[in-house]
Amino acid sequence: MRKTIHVATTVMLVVLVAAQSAIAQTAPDVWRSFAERLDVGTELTVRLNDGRSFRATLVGVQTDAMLLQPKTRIPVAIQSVPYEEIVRLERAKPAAGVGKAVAIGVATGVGTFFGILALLYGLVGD
Amino acid sequence: MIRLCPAIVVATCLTASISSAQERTSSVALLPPSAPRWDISAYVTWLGERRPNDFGPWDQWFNLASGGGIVGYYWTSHFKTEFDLSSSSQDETYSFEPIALPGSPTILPLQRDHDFRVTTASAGVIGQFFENAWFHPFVSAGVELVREREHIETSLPIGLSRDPRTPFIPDFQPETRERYGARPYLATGFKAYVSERAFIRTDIRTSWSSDGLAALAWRSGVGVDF
Repeated sequence: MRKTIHVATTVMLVVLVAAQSAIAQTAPDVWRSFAERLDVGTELTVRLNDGRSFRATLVGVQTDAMLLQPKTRIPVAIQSVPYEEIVRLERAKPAAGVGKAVAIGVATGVGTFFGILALLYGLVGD
Repeated sequence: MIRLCPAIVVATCLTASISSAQERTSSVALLPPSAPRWDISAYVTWLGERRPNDFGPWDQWFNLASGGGIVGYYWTSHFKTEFDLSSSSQDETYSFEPIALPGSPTILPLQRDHDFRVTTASAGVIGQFFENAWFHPFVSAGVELVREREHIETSLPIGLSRDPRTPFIPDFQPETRERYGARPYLATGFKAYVSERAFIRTDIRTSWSSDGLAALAWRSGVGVDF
């Protein structure tokens, strides 16, 4: 019985390690193939294997990395992003439309109104 | 050999995990090397201060307007230390205290008017989400030092002091009490940037004491990174 448990544990661990390395080996080729089909200037959403996610503009494609211009608040230099660091890569969805902008404006206005109301209430008292 | 085999596999697996973890240190920089480390902001607050059982057998909430400033230092793009100073406006409440007059069996209800003001100084840490984005939610925790200033005016029932039948009544002078304390706080909010460095900031902050919730604050302000 004990021998069976040992063998089962070993097999399970080997399978897990093999699966992990298989995933790691496959992804870069897939991303390279995907990137080569994109037009320069395409806006992308990128997720890296360290958990970070950002939008970027495709500037160029190399054999081992993509050249991306991240769309950050403070501009940063063009980044060479190795394919093996990419977990997810997709075309960015179009920017928010007029409806969303109006919703944000209304929400901001309502929030400001109630904020001022609360302040006046605090100042004047009961 | 059978016992050794799983151990070898586990060791191999751990090594693979460690090397995998090391590989996860990305070379992609989303923050310029010269990114600002400090930020400063000014804010206004609606502040609710709860004082259970201080002025009667019920919970007393003071509604105060407050204002203050914050200075923060980013240790990393996600971790910040903040120092905060604020002072509130004044709110008032009243209480009644029955007292026995000297040489008389009469019990008089004294009315005491309490003016209440709070000043806080706090230090805390912030965990901020996203990197170099236009919108940054955050959570915060820390400790605030509280100075409460309570000014008390005591008044007699109307007409009593002019009544010649009234025995000697002590002269009640206004008094001011100051209390100091420390209490932990938890907060959550966001910074929304309107330019590369200027932002609007708002958060909800809860302060806690041994009686539970001690204060609730909704703060909104503007600031700048530098």
